[in-house]
Amino acid sequence: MGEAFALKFGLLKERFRGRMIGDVDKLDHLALQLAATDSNSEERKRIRDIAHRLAGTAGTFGYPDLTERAAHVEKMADVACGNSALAETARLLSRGIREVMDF
Amino acid sequence: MQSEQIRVAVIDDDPLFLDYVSELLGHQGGMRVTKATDGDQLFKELDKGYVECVLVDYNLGNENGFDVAERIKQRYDVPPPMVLLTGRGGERTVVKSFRLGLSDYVSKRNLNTSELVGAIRGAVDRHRQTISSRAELEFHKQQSAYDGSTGLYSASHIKKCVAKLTSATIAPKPFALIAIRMNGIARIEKTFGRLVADRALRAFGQRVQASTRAGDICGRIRDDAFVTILDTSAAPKSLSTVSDRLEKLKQHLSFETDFDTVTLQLSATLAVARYPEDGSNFDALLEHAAILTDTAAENQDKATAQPESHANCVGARPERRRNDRRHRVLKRGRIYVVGMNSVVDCTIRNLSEYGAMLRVNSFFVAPDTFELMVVGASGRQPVTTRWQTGLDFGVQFVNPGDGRTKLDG
Repeated sequence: MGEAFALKFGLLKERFRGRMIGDVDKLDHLALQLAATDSNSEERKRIRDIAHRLAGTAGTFGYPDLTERAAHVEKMADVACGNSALAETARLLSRGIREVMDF
Repeated sequence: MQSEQIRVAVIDDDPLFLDYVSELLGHQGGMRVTKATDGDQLFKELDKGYVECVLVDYNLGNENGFDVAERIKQRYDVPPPMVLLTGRGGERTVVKSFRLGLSDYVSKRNLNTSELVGAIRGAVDRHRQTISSRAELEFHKQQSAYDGSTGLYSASHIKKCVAKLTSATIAPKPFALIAIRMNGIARIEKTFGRLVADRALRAFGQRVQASTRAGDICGRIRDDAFVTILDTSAAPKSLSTVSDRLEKLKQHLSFETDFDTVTLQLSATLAVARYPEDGSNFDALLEHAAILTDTAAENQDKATAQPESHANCVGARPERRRNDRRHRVLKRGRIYVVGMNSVVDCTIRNLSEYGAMLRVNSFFVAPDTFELMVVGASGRQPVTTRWQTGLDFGVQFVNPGDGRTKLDG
């Protein structure tokens, strides 16, 4: 990795980290709301979108474990699993992010 | 070739990943990168004409990578090669991407830099080779004395012949150029496919050839355009000779031809340009004739325009149609394409008072309206196409109630 790219990559990784801080809060909030409803709600879609985005980028920034976990949440959101099960998995993902990234 | 800076456009709705891939391709791949977060931004860049490859993410939020790839293919005659970035690259996604003509795909998760750079470089190299081969083929076509599709003389050969005739400085010989435009080839290709269109073109070319006399030169100069050069210098009454030939040619080139299950009525629009009266070289003579054929074709289009009434009569009653008993017995049918004088054989199934399901044996894009006849039963009835899946399509009778009573005999 060249010096210039290493520098850029460091800055991008910082951006990724900053985004993750926002995403864990969103995931926790959405999981709470999802668990409280029976409908096929907007929360479900938003959890899926966050998980999809995370699955696509976490590995790139050095967190392959988070890619796996996020991909699992995305898959659960795509199949018709129950809201409470998805909410629980989303919470686990959020906790995993906190642990791995040391928030 | 690889030492050149490849100009690549990346489209991804995640700005963070977009920035990452752009830096990666710029620094590690030595490429010039343009970024886009949606289709509109991408097309602004592509319209400039510099992009040699598009790296497209499958999941773009409001649209997906396949939609964008489709739009690129429709918008540009020579679209740049495309490489798909997939999150969860399932087998179906990969198969679909190749069917759509994408060059390669790379997994976005745990992205491998050398794999990504290699995929883009490979796609660009293959594309450049294809373009180069096409250019070479085109060059050979231009040089060839014969047209590959019809076996007649090629445009370049005709041009050379005319140049010879017009370059004579001492006592140039007069001649007549008959421009022949085969009617409706574009519509034939759109409706019946490339294979039928090519066969129609060959059949038409053979007719043109068969209508020549000793001393004539005939050839194909463009997709649907042919010419015949008549040496009029020896004919005592050249003007009437040309008119006679034109009339006979017109009759000879209006014919019916069968291709398996498709019957086409072919015809031509003709015009004459005389040397030296109407032009001093090939291009000028052709332009003179083209103006005349354009006018004649316009008049013909007006004369054969479809009545609008068919298209406006789509008043179905779905709930009644569902309850209606349908005949599952297969019948032989004939499809008459209005305005083209073409006939296609088909089998009819699920015939009801309101419509039927039809199946054809080869590629056929059902027009919005056409006429249907059950062989051995009755006359032609106007129908509208409601759906088409491959070789099967559903039609609705323009006048509901006419279906069984008239067609079923």
